[in-house]
Amino acid sequence: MNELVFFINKVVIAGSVIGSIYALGAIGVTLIFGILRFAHFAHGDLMTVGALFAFVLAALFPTAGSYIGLPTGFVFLPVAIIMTAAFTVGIDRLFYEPLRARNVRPILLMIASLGVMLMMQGLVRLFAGTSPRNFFIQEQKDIFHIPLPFDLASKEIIITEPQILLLVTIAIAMFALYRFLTRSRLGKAMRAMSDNSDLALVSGINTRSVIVATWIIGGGLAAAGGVLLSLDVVLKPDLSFNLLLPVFASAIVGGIGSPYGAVAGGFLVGFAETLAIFNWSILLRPFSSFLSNWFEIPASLALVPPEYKLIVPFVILVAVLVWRPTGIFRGRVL
Amino acid sequence: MSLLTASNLHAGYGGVNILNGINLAIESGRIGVIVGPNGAGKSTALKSVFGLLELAEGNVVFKDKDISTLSPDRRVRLGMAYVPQEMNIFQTMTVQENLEMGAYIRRDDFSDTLERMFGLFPPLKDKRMDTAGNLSGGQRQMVAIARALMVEPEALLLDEPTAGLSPAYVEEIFERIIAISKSGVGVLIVEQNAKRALEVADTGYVLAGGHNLFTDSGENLLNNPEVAQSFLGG
Repeated sequence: MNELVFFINKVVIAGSVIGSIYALGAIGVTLIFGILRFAHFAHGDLMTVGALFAFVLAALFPTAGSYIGLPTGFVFLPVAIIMTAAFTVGIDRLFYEPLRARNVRPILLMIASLGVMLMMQGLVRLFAGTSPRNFFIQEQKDIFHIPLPFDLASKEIIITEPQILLLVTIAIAMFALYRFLTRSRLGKAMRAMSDNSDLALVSGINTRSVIVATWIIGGGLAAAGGVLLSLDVVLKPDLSFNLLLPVFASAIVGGIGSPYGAVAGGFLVGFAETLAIFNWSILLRPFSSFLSNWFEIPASLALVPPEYKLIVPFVILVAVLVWRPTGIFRGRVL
Repeated sequence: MSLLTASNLHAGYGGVNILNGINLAIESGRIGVIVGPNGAGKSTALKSVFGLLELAEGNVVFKDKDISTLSPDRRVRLGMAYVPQEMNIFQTMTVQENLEMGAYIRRDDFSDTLERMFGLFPPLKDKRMDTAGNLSGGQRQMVAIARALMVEPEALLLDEPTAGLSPAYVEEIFERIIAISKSGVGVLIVEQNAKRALEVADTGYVLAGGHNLFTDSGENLLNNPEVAQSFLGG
Protein backbone atom coordinates (compact mmCIF):
# COMPACT_ATOMS: atom_id res chain seq x y z
CA MET A 1 0.00 0.00 0.00
CA ASN A 2 3.02 2.27 0.13
CA GLU A 3 2.58 2.61 -3.60
CA LEU A 4 -0.91 4.02 -3.08
CA VAL A 5 0.44 6.55 -0.62
CA PHE A 6 3.08 7.47 -3.13
CA PHE A 7 0.37 7.91 -5.76
CA ILE A 8 -1.68 10.11 -3.41
CA ASN A 9 1.33 12.27 -2.62
CA LYS A 10 2.64 12.58 -6.13
CA VAL A 11 -0.59 12.75 -8.11
CA VAL A 12 -3.67 13.44 -6.01
CA ILE A 13 -2.18 16.16 -3.83
CA ALA A 14 0.29 17.55 -6.36
CA GLY A 15 -2.38 17.55 -9.09
CA SER A 16 -4.95 19.29 -6.88
CA VAL A 17 -2.40 21.91 -5.88
CA ILE A 18 -1.23 22.80 -9.37
CA GLY A 19 -4.77 22.41 -10.73
CA SER A 20 -6.03 24.96 -8.18
CA ILE A 21 -3.34 27.41 -9.22
CA TYR A 22 -4.22 27.02 -12.89
CA ALA A 23 -7.92 27.37 -12.07
CA LEU A 24 -7.34 30.62 -10.15
CA GLY A 25 -5.55 32.07 -13.17
CA ALA A 26 -7.92 30.61 -15.75
CA ILE A 27 -11.03 32.09 -14.10
CA GLY A 28 -9.62 35.58 -14.62
CA VAL A 29 -8.60 34.86 -18.22
CA THR A 30 -12.03 33.48 -19.00
CA LEU A 31 -13.93 36.33 -17.27
CA ILE A 32 -11.91 38.95 -19.10
CA PHE A 33 -12.51 37.16 -22.38
CA GLY A 34 -16.21 36.81 -21.60
CA ILE A 35 -16.64 40.53 -20.93
CA LEU A 36 -13.99 42.27 -23.02
CA ARG A 37 -13.53 39.63 -25.74
CA PHE A 38 -9.78 39.54 -25.77
CA ALA A 39 -7.10 37.14 -24.53
CA HIS A 40 -5.33 38.88 -21.66
CA PHE A 41 -1.73 37.76 -21.99
CA ALA A 42 -0.49 39.81 -19.06
CA HIS A 43 -2.53 37.65 -16.70
CA GLY A 44 0.36 35.47 -15.54
CA ASP A 45 2.21 38.58 -14.49
CA LEU A 46 -0.68 39.63 -12.26
CA MET A 47 0.06 36.40 -10.39
CA THR A 48 3.73 37.38 -9.98
CA VAL A 49 2.81 40.91 -8.94
CA GLY A 50 0.35 39.58 -6.36
CA ALA A 51 2.98 37.27 -4.91
CA LEU A 52 5.47 40.11 -4.84
CA PHE A 53 3.07 42.38 -2.94
CA ALA A 54 2.58 39.64 -0.34
CA PHE A 55 6.33 39.05 -0.17
CA VAL A 56 7.13 42.70 0.42
CA LEU A 57 4.48 42.92 3.15
CA ALA A 58 5.77 39.72 4.75
CA ALA A 59 9.31 41.07 4.66
CA LEU A 60 8.19 44.34 6.28
CA PHE A 61 6.20 42.62 9.03
CA PRO A 62 7.84 39.22 9.40
CA THR A 63 6.18 38.37 12.69
CA ALA A 64 2.60 39.04 11.62
CA GLY A 65 1.89 35.35 11.04
CA SER A 66 3.03 34.13 14.42
CA TYR A 67 0.21 36.02 16.16
CA ILE A 68 -2.42 34.03 14.32
CA GLY A 69 -0.49 30.84 13.78
CA LEU A 70 -0.57 30.99 9.99
CA PRO A 71 2.26 31.62 7.52
CA THR A 72 3.01 35.34 7.36
CA GLY A 73 2.64 35.36 3.56
CA PHE A 74 -0.85 33.91 3.88
CA VAL A 75 -1.85 36.46 6.51
CA PHE A 76 -1.15 39.18 3.95
CA LEU A 77 -3.07 37.38 1.20
CA PRO A 78 -6.20 39.57 1.53
CA VAL A 79 -4.07 42.73 1.40
CA ALA A 80 -2.13 41.41 -1.61
CA ILE A 81 -5.42 40.57 -3.33
CA ILE A 82 -6.75 44.09 -2.77
CA MET A 83 -3.48 45.68 -3.89
CA THR A 84 -3.32 43.55 -7.03
CA ALA A 85 -6.97 44.22 -7.83
CA ALA A 86 -6.29 47.96 -7.57
CA PHE A 87 -3.13 47.54 -9.63
CA THR A 88 -5.12 45.65 -12.30
CA VAL A 89 -7.77 48.35 -12.48
CA GLY A 90 -4.93 50.86 -12.87
CA ILE A 91 -3.45 48.84 -15.75
CA ASP A 92 -6.86 48.88 -17.42
CA ARG A 93 -7.21 52.65 -16.96
CA LEU A 94 -3.74 53.28 -18.36
CA PHE A 95 -3.60 50.88 -21.29
CA TYR A 96 -6.83 49.10 -22.21
CA GLU A 97 -9.47 51.73 -21.52
CA PRO A 98 -8.02 54.33 -23.91
CA LEU A 99 -8.01 51.65 -26.61
CA ARG A 100 -11.60 50.64 -25.87
CA ALA A 101 -12.62 54.30 -26.04
CA ARG A 102 -11.37 54.28 -29.64
CA ASN A 103 -13.44 51.17 -30.36
CA VAL A 104 -10.43 49.16 -31.47
CA ARG A 105 -10.80 45.52 -32.45
CA PRO A 106 -10.15 42.90 -29.74
CA ILE A 107 -6.98 41.74 -31.50
CA LEU A 108 -5.39 45.12 -30.76
CA LEU A 109 -6.23 44.78 -27.08
CA MET A 110 -4.61 41.36 -27.12
CA ILE A 111 -1.44 42.78 -28.67
CA ALA A 112 -1.51 45.58 -26.09
CA SER A 113 -1.71 42.97 -23.35
CA LEU A 114 1.43 41.33 -24.77
CA GLY A 115 3.15 44.69 -24.38
CA VAL A 116 1.85 45.05 -20.83
CA MET A 117 3.12 41.53 -20.12
CA LEU A 118 6.65 42.35 -21.28
CA MET A 119 6.59 45.63 -19.39
CA MET A 120 5.46 43.97 -16.17
CA GLN A 121 8.07 41.26 -16.47
CA GLY A 122 10.71 43.97 -16.78
CA LEU A 123 9.32 45.91 -13.83
CA VAL A 124 9.22 42.82 -11.61
CA ARG A 125 12.88 42.07 -12.39
CA LEU A 126 13.80 45.73 -11.91
CA PHE A 127 12.33 45.88 -8.41
CA ALA A 128 12.73 42.31 -7.22
CA GLY A 129 15.73 41.03 -9.13
CA THR A 130 15.90 37.66 -10.80
CA SER A 131 16.66 35.34 -7.91
CA PRO A 132 14.06 33.07 -6.38
CA ARG A 133 12.71 34.15 -3.00
CA ASN A 134 11.42 32.00 -0.20
CA PHE A 135 8.56 33.07 2.03
CA PHE A 136 9.78 30.72 4.73
CA ILE A 137 13.08 32.10 5.97
CA GLN A 138 12.37 32.84 9.59
CA GLU A 139 9.28 30.67 9.82
CA GLN A 140 8.95 26.95 9.73
CA LYS A 141 6.75 25.49 7.00
CA ASP A 142 4.34 23.14 8.75
CA ILE A 143 4.27 19.74 7.12
CA PHE A 144 1.57 17.28 8.10
CA HIS A 145 2.23 13.56 8.02
CA ILE A 146 -1.00 11.61 7.88
CA PRO A 147 -0.58 7.86 8.33
CA LEU A 148 -3.10 5.56 6.70
CA PRO A 149 -5.30 3.76 9.26
CA PHE A 150 -4.93 0.06 10.19
CA ASP A 151 -1.19 -0.03 9.47
CA LEU A 152 -1.92 -0.41 5.77
CA ALA A 153 1.22 1.40 4.80
CA SER A 154 4.42 2.38 6.47
CA LYS A 155 4.67 5.57 4.45
CA GLU A 156 2.55 8.60 5.27
CA ILE A 157 0.54 11.03 3.25
CA ILE A 158 2.40 14.31 3.26
CA ILE A 159 0.70 17.66 2.84
CA THR A 160 2.07 21.07 3.75
CA GLU A 161 0.25 23.90 5.43
CA PRO A 162 0.35 26.14 2.33
CA GLN A 163 -1.18 23.33 0.30
CA ILE A 164 -4.07 22.96 2.72
CA LEU A 165 -4.56 26.72 2.77
CA LEU A 166 -4.57 26.71 -1.04
CA LEU A 167 -7.25 24.03 -1.27
CA VAL A 168 -9.37 25.82 1.34
CA THR A 169 -8.92 29.16 -0.44
CA ILE A 170 -9.94 27.83 -3.86
CA ALA A 171 -13.01 26.13 -2.39
CA ILE A 172 -14.10 29.40 -0.78
CA ALA A 173 -13.29 31.41 -3.92
CA MET A 174 -15.32 29.05 -6.14
CA PHE A 175 -18.33 29.21 -3.86
CA ALA A 176 -18.13 32.99 -3.55
CA LEU A 177 -17.81 33.44 -7.31
CA TYR A 178 -20.79 31.17 -7.96
CA ARG A 179 -22.94 33.08 -5.48
CA PHE A 180 -21.75 36.40 -6.91
CA LEU A 181 -22.62 35.47 -10.51
CA THR A 182 -26.00 33.94 -9.75
CA ARG A 183 -27.30 36.07 -6.88
CA SER A 184 -25.85 39.57 -6.94
CA ARG A 185 -27.04 42.41 -9.12
CA LEU A 186 -23.53 43.18 -10.38
CA GLY A 187 -22.75 39.50 -10.98
CA LYS A 188 -25.89 39.07 -13.06
CA ALA A 189 -25.01 42.24 -14.96
CA MET A 190 -21.62 40.65 -15.73
CA ARG A 191 -23.35 37.60 -17.16
CA ALA A 192 -25.74 39.83 -19.09
CA MET A 193 -22.91 41.82 -20.61
CA SER A 194 -21.06 38.64 -21.54
CA ASP A 195 -24.26 37.25 -23.09
CA ASN A 196 -25.25 40.32 -25.11
CA SER A 197 -23.31 43.52 -24.58
CA ASP A 198 -25.51 45.62 -26.89
CA LEU A 199 -28.65 44.65 -25.02
CA ALA A 200 -26.88 45.27 -21.70
CA LEU A 201 -26.17 48.81 -22.86
CA VAL A 202 -29.76 49.29 -24.05
CA SER A 203 -30.98 48.04 -20.65
CA GLY A 204 -29.06 50.82 -18.95
CA ILE A 205 -26.47 48.48 -17.40
CA ASN A 206 -23.39 50.46 -16.45
CA THR A 207 -20.85 48.61 -18.58
CA ARG A 208 -18.00 50.56 -17.02
CA SER A 209 -18.65 49.23 -13.53
CA VAL A 210 -19.04 45.71 -14.93
CA ILE A 211 -15.61 46.01 -16.55
CA VAL A 212 -14.04 47.28 -13.32
CA ALA A 213 -15.62 44.38 -11.41
CA THR A 214 -14.19 41.97 -13.97
CA TRP A 215 -10.67 43.30 -13.49
CA ILE A 216 -11.02 43.27 -9.71
CA ILE A 217 -12.13 39.63 -9.65
CA GLY A 218 -9.61 38.53 -12.28
CA GLY A 219 -6.72 40.39 -10.67
CA GLY A 220 -7.70 39.32 -7.16
CA LEU A 221 -7.90 35.63 -8.02
CA ALA A 222 -4.63 35.83 -9.96
CA ALA A 223 -2.96 37.35 -6.90
CA ALA A 224 -4.37 34.58 -4.72
CA GLY A 225 -2.95 31.98 -7.11
CA GLY A 226 0.45 33.68 -7.22
CA VAL A 227 0.75 34.06 -3.45
CA LEU A 228 -0.37 30.51 -2.71
CA LEU A 229 1.94 29.00 -5.33
CA SER A 230 4.86 31.00 -4.00
CA LEU A 231 4.09 29.84 -0.46
CA ASP A 232 4.01 26.26 -1.67
CA VAL A 233 7.24 26.47 -3.66
CA VAL A 234 9.21 29.72 -4.00
CA LEU A 235 8.58 33.11 -5.58
CA LYS A 236 10.37 33.25 -8.89
CA PRO A 237 10.21 36.17 -11.30
CA ASP A 238 9.59 33.78 -14.18
CA LEU A 239 6.59 32.31 -12.34
CA SER A 240 4.25 34.15 -14.66
CA PHE A 241 5.77 32.85 -17.84
CA ASN A 242 5.64 29.23 -16.72
CA LEU A 243 2.02 29.67 -15.65
CA LEU A 244 0.73 31.57 -18.65
CA LEU A 245 0.53 28.68 -21.10
CA PRO A 246 -1.13 26.12 -18.81
CA VAL A 247 -3.51 28.82 -17.55
CA PHE A 248 -4.59 29.66 -21.09
CA ALA A 249 -4.85 25.97 -21.94
CA SER A 250 -7.10 25.52 -18.87
CA ALA A 251 -9.38 28.39 -19.86
CA ILE A 252 -9.70 27.20 -23.46
CA VAL A 253 -10.10 23.51 -22.60
CA GLY A 254 -12.85 24.39 -20.11
CA GLY A 255 -14.62 26.53 -22.69
CA ILE A 256 -13.38 30.11 -22.76
CA GLY A 257 -15.95 32.45 -21.25
CA SER A 258 -17.20 29.88 -18.74
CA PRO A 259 -15.81 30.31 -15.20
CA TYR A 260 -16.90 26.81 -14.16
CA GLY A 261 -15.22 25.48 -17.27
CA ALA A 262 -12.04 27.31 -16.26
CA VAL A 263 -12.01 25.49 -12.92
CA ALA A 264 -12.62 22.13 -14.59
CA GLY A 265 -9.96 22.93 -17.20
CA GLY A 266 -7.49 23.97 -14.49
CA PHE A 267 -7.83 20.67 -12.66
CA LEU A 268 -7.79 18.68 -15.90
CA VAL A 269 -4.54 20.28 -17.03
CA GLY A 270 -3.06 20.06 -13.51
CA PHE A 271 -3.82 16.35 -13.13
CA ALA A 272 -2.77 15.59 -16.69
CA GLU A 273 0.60 17.20 -16.00
CA THR A 274 1.22 15.29 -12.80
CA LEU A 275 0.01 12.02 -14.31
CA ALA A 276 2.26 12.53 -17.31
CA ILE A 277 5.39 12.97 -15.23
CA PHE A 278 4.38 10.34 -12.66
CA ASN A 279 6.69 7.35 -12.47
CA TRP A 280 4.27 4.50 -13.17
CA SER A 281 6.82 1.81 -12.54
CA ILE A 282 6.32 2.38 -8.81
CA LEU A 283 2.70 1.29 -9.08
CA LEU A 284 3.79 -1.78 -11.06
CA ARG A 285 6.36 -2.91 -8.53
CA PRO A 286 3.93 -4.90 -6.33
CA PHE A 287 3.12 -6.97 -9.39
CA SER A 288 6.73 -7.51 -10.35
CA SER A 289 6.60 -11.21 -9.45
CA PHE A 290 3.86 -11.78 -12.04
CA LEU A 291 5.27 -9.48 -14.62
CA SER A 292 8.92 -10.36 -14.40
CA ASN A 293 8.35 -13.42 -16.58
CA TRP A 294 7.56 -11.35 -19.61
CA PHE A 295 9.06 -7.99 -18.98
CA GLU A 296 11.29 -6.15 -16.63
CA ILE A 297 9.93 -3.04 -14.98
CA PRO A 298 12.15 -0.11 -15.84
CA ALA A 299 13.35 2.15 -13.06
CA SER A 300 11.45 5.08 -14.53
CA LEU A 301 8.25 4.76 -16.47
CA ALA A 302 6.84 8.24 -17.02
CA LEU A 303 5.03 9.45 -20.10
CA VAL A 304 7.21 12.52 -20.37
CA PRO A 305 10.30 13.61 -18.44
CA PRO A 306 9.52 16.41 -15.95
CA GLU A 307 11.41 19.03 -17.93
CA TYR A 308 8.96 18.54 -20.81
CA LYS A 309 5.79 18.77 -18.79
CA LEU A 310 4.91 22.09 -20.43
CA ILE A 311 3.90 20.19 -23.57
CA VAL A 312 1.16 18.33 -21.69
CA PRO A 313 -1.33 21.23 -21.65
CA PHE A 314 -0.89 21.57 -25.39
CA VAL A 315 -1.60 17.93 -26.05
CA ILE A 316 -4.80 18.23 -24.00
CA LEU A 317 -5.65 21.50 -25.68
CA VAL A 318 -5.37 20.00 -29.15
CA ALA A 319 -7.23 16.84 -28.15
CA VAL A 320 -10.13 18.75 -26.57
CA LEU A 321 -10.38 21.24 -29.40
CA VAL A 322 -10.59 18.43 -31.93
CA TRP A 323 -13.17 16.55 -29.90
CA ARG A 324 -15.19 19.55 -28.73
CA PRO A 325 -14.13 22.87 -30.24
CA THR A 326 -16.07 25.04 -27.78
CA GLY A 327 -14.43 23.41 -24.76
CA ILE A 328 -15.85 21.13 -22.10
CA PHE A 329 -18.42 23.64 -20.84
CA ARG A 330 -19.40 25.10 -24.22
CA GLY A 331 -17.92 28.47 -23.38
CA ARG A 332 -18.42 31.96 -24.73
CA VAL A 333 -20.82 33.24 -22.10
CA LEU A 334 -20.40 33.44 -18.32
CA MET B 1 -47.00 69.01 -26.69
CA SER B 2 -46.06 65.47 -27.62
CA LEU B 3 -44.33 63.12 -25.18
CA LEU B 4 -41.52 62.65 -27.66
CA THR B 5 -40.80 64.59 -30.83
CA ALA B 6 -38.09 63.80 -33.33
CA SER B 7 -37.62 66.57 -35.88
CA ASN B 8 -35.67 66.69 -39.11
CA LEU B 9 -33.56 63.59 -38.31
CA HIS B 10 -30.48 63.17 -40.49
CA ALA B 11 -28.39 60.12 -39.62
CA GLY B 12 -26.63 57.15 -41.14
CA TYR B 13 -23.65 54.87 -41.02
CA GLY B 14 -20.09 55.81 -41.92
CA GLY B 15 -20.95 59.26 -43.22
CA VAL B 16 -23.65 58.01 -45.60
CA ASN B 17 -27.01 59.39 -44.54
CA ILE B 18 -29.92 56.99 -44.53
CA LEU B 19 -32.30 59.45 -42.92
CA ASN B 20 -32.76 62.70 -44.82
CA GLY B 21 -35.04 64.68 -42.55
CA ILE B 22 -37.50 62.42 -40.76
CA ASN B 23 -40.18 63.70 -38.36
CA LEU B 24 -41.78 61.44 -35.77
CA ALA B 25 -43.79 61.95 -32.60
CA ILE B 26 -45.12 59.81 -29.77
CA GLU B 27 -48.13 60.67 -27.59
CA SER B 28 -48.74 59.12 -24.19
CA GLY B 29 -51.15 56.21 -24.42
CA ARG B 30 -51.04 56.17 -28.21
CA ILE B 31 -49.46 53.90 -30.79
CA GLY B 32 -47.33 55.27 -33.59
CA VAL B 33 -46.36 52.92 -36.41
CA ILE B 34 -43.52 53.33 -38.90
CA VAL B 35 -43.99 51.44 -42.16
CA GLY B 36 -42.32 51.57 -45.53
CA PRO B 37 -40.38 49.50 -48.05
CA ASN B 38 -37.04 47.83 -47.25
CA GLY B 39 -34.26 50.35 -46.98
CA ALA B 40 -36.61 53.21 -46.21
CA GLY B 41 -34.75 53.85 -42.95
CA LYS B 42 -37.41 52.58 -40.53
CA SER B 43 -35.09 50.82 -38.08
CA THR B 44 -32.47 53.53 -38.51
CA ALA B 45 -35.06 56.13 -37.54
CA LEU B 46 -35.96 54.19 -34.40
CA LYS B 47 -32.29 53.75 -33.44
CA SER B 48 -31.70 57.46 -33.93
CA VAL B 49 -34.60 58.30 -31.65
CA PHE B 50 -33.06 56.07 -28.95
CA GLY B 51 -29.56 57.49 -29.42
CA LEU B 52 -27.91 54.40 -30.86
CA LEU B 53 -26.90 56.52 -33.84
CA GLU B 54 -25.39 59.95 -33.76
CA LEU B 55 -27.52 62.58 -35.42
CA ALA B 56 -25.94 64.54 -38.24
CA GLU B 57 -28.80 67.03 -38.04
CA GLY B 58 -32.13 67.42 -36.26
CA ASN B 59 -33.11 66.87 -32.66
CA VAL B 60 -35.07 64.63 -30.31
CA VAL B 61 -37.16 66.20 -27.55
CA PHE B 62 -38.51 64.02 -24.74
CA LYS B 63 -40.73 65.47 -22.03
CA ASP B 64 -39.78 69.00 -23.13
CA LYS B 65 -36.07 68.23 -22.80
CA ASP B 66 -33.65 68.11 -25.72
CA ILE B 67 -32.03 64.68 -25.45
CA SER B 68 -30.36 64.68 -28.88
CA THR B 69 -26.88 64.06 -27.51
CA LEU B 70 -27.69 61.76 -24.59
CA SER B 71 -26.40 58.16 -24.58
CA PRO B 72 -28.98 55.34 -24.72
CA ASP B 73 -28.56 54.43 -21.05
CA ARG B 74 -29.25 58.06 -20.06
CA ARG B 75 -32.43 57.95 -22.14
CA VAL B 76 -33.47 54.77 -20.32
CA ARG B 77 -33.08 56.63 -17.05
CA LEU B 78 -35.33 59.42 -18.36
CA GLY B 79 -38.11 56.94 -19.19
CA MET B 80 -37.49 55.52 -22.65
CA ALA B 81 -37.12 51.84 -23.48
CA TYR B 82 -36.10 50.11 -26.68
CA VAL B 83 -36.50 46.56 -27.96
CA PRO B 84 -34.06 45.67 -30.75
CA GLN B 85 -35.25 43.51 -33.60
CA GLU B 86 -32.70 40.75 -33.13
CA MET B 87 -30.65 39.52 -30.19
CA ASN B 88 -33.15 41.18 -27.90
CA ILE B 89 -32.95 38.78 -24.94
CA PHE B 90 -30.16 37.46 -22.72
CA GLN B 91 -30.24 33.92 -24.08
CA THR B 92 -28.22 32.21 -21.36
CA MET B 93 -30.13 33.78 -18.49
CA THR B 94 -33.48 32.80 -17.04
CA VAL B 95 -36.68 34.66 -17.90
CA GLN B 96 -36.71 36.24 -14.46
CA GLU B 97 -33.05 37.27 -14.73
CA ASN B 98 -33.82 38.88 -18.09
CA LEU B 99 -36.51 40.98 -16.45
CA GLU B 100 -34.22 41.82 -13.53
CA MET B 101 -31.63 43.08 -16.03
CA GLY B 102 -34.33 45.23 -17.59
CA ALA B 103 -34.83 46.76 -14.16
CA TYR B 104 -31.07 47.16 -13.60
CA ILE B 105 -31.24 50.92 -13.21
CA ARG B 106 -34.02 50.68 -10.63
CA ARG B 107 -32.85 50.79 -7.04
CA ASP B 108 -36.37 50.47 -5.62
CA ASP B 109 -38.34 47.26 -5.11
CA PHE B 110 -39.57 46.21 -8.54
CA SER B 111 -41.34 42.99 -7.54
CA ASP B 112 -44.75 44.54 -8.34
CA THR B 113 -43.57 45.39 -11.87
CA LEU B 114 -42.28 41.83 -12.21
CA GLU B 115 -45.68 40.42 -11.24
CA ARG B 116 -47.41 42.87 -13.59
CA MET B 117 -45.24 41.56 -16.45
CA PHE B 118 -46.24 37.97 -15.67
CA GLY B 119 -49.84 39.19 -15.69
CA LEU B 120 -49.35 40.90 -19.05
CA PHE B 121 -47.55 37.88 -20.53
CA PRO B 122 -49.07 34.86 -18.74
CA PRO B 123 -47.02 32.25 -20.68
CA LEU B 124 -43.88 33.63 -19.06
CA LYS B 125 -45.05 33.00 -15.52
CA ASP B 126 -44.52 29.24 -15.63
CA LYS B 127 -41.26 29.71 -17.50
CA ARG B 128 -39.72 32.29 -15.19
CA MET B 129 -36.91 29.95 -14.11
CA ASP B 130 -36.32 28.61 -17.65
CA THR B 131 -33.39 29.73 -19.76
CA ALA B 132 -34.73 32.39 -22.11
CA GLY B 133 -32.84 31.04 -25.12
CA ASN B 134 -34.84 27.81 -24.94
CA LEU B 135 -38.23 29.50 -25.32
CA SER B 136 -40.29 29.63 -28.52
CA GLY B 137 -39.96 32.66 -30.79
CA GLY B 138 -43.16 34.26 -29.55
CA GLN B 139 -42.26 33.77 -25.92
CA ARG B 140 -38.79 35.19 -26.52
CA GLN B 141 -40.42 38.28 -28.00
CA MET B 142 -42.57 38.53 -24.87
CA VAL B 143 -39.42 38.35 -22.73
CA ALA B 144 -37.85 41.07 -24.87
CA ILE B 145 -40.82 43.42 -24.49
CA ALA B 146 -41.24 42.65 -20.78
CA ARG B 147 -37.52 43.33 -20.24
CA ALA B 148 -37.94 46.79 -21.74
CA LEU B 149 -41.09 47.48 -19.71
CA MET B 150 -39.34 46.72 -16.41
CA VAL B 151 -38.19 50.34 -16.12
CA GLU B 152 -41.86 51.46 -16.31
CA PRO B 153 -41.04 53.58 -19.37
CA GLU B 154 -43.21 56.39 -20.65
CA ALA B 155 -42.11 55.74 -24.22
CA LEU B 156 -41.53 52.28 -25.68
CA LEU B 157 -39.74 51.77 -29.00
CA LEU B 158 -40.23 48.39 -30.71
CA ASP B 159 -38.24 47.30 -33.76
CA GLU B 160 -40.27 44.74 -35.73
CA PRO B 161 -41.71 42.94 -32.72
CA THR B 162 -43.61 40.38 -34.82
CA ALA B 163 -40.87 39.52 -37.35
CA GLY B 164 -40.66 35.79 -37.90
CA LEU B 165 -43.54 34.91 -35.57
CA SER B 166 -46.45 32.56 -36.31
CA PRO B 167 -49.79 34.33 -37.06
CA ALA B 168 -51.21 33.37 -33.66
CA TYR B 169 -48.26 34.98 -31.89
CA VAL B 170 -48.37 38.04 -34.18
CA GLU B 171 -51.95 38.63 -33.04
CA GLU B 172 -51.04 38.04 -29.40
CA ILE B 173 -48.12 40.48 -29.53
CA PHE B 174 -50.32 43.15 -31.15
CA GLU B 175 -52.92 42.68 -28.43
CA ARG B 176 -50.25 43.09 -25.76
CA ILE B 177 -48.97 46.24 -27.44
CA ILE B 178 -52.49 47.69 -27.38
CA ALA B 179 -52.75 46.80 -23.69
CA ILE B 180 -49.40 48.47 -23.00
CA SER B 181 -50.48 51.68 -24.74
CA LYS B 182 -53.81 51.66 -22.88
CA SER B 183 -51.82 51.71 -19.61
CA GLY B 184 -50.54 55.14 -20.67
CA VAL B 185 -47.28 54.28 -22.43
CA GLY B 186 -46.50 55.96 -25.72
CA VAL B 187 -45.49 53.25 -28.20
CA LEU B 188 -43.57 53.61 -31.45
CA ILE B 189 -43.32 50.48 -33.61
CA VAL B 190 -41.42 49.68 -36.77
CA GLU B 191 -43.38 47.00 -38.62
CA GLN B 192 -43.06 44.90 -41.73
CA ASN B 193 -46.56 43.65 -41.09
CA ALA B 194 -47.85 46.99 -42.35
CA LYS B 195 -51.54 46.27 -42.71
CA ARG B 196 -52.08 44.83 -39.23
CA ALA B 197 -49.86 47.51 -37.72
CA LEU B 198 -51.77 50.38 -39.33
CA GLU B 199 -55.02 48.90 -38.01
CA VAL B 200 -53.79 49.42 -34.44
CA ALA B 201 -51.98 52.70 -35.16
CA ASP B 202 -53.20 56.03 -33.86
CA THR B 203 -50.62 57.64 -36.12
CA GLY B 204 -48.86 56.01 -39.04
CA TYR B 205 -45.63 57.17 -40.62
CA VAL B 206 -44.90 55.96 -44.13
CA LEU B 207 -41.20 56.35 -44.87
CA ALA B 208 -39.41 55.99 -48.18
CA GLY B 209 -35.84 56.88 -49.09
CA GLY B 210 -35.20 58.43 -45.71
CA HIS B 211 -38.12 60.87 -46.01
CA ASN B 212 -41.63 61.02 -44.57
CA LEU B 213 -43.91 60.08 -47.47
CA PHE B 214 -47.19 60.20 -45.56
CA THR B 215 -48.12 60.92 -41.99
CA ASP B 216 -51.73 60.36 -41.03
CA SER B 217 -54.02 58.31 -38.80
CA GLY B 218 -53.70 54.57 -39.31
CA GLU B 219 -57.19 54.38 -40.67
CA ASN B 220 -56.67 57.11 -43.26
CA LEU B 221 -53.45 55.51 -44.43
CA LEU B 222 -55.16 52.17 -44.85
CA ASN B 223 -57.79 53.88 -47.01
CA ASN B 224 -55.25 55.89 -48.97
CA PRO B 225 -55.05 54.27 -52.42
CA GLU B 226 -51.47 55.40 -52.94
CA VAL B 227 -50.32 53.78 -49.69
CA ALA B 228 -52.39 50.70 -50.40
CA GLN B 229 -50.87 50.32 -53.82
CA SER B 230 -47.25 50.82 -52.78
CA PHE B 231 -47.05 48.99 -49.46
CA LEU B 232 -50.10 46.97 -48.69
CA GLY B 233 -50.20 44.86 -51.79
CA GLY B 234 -53.15 46.60 -53.47
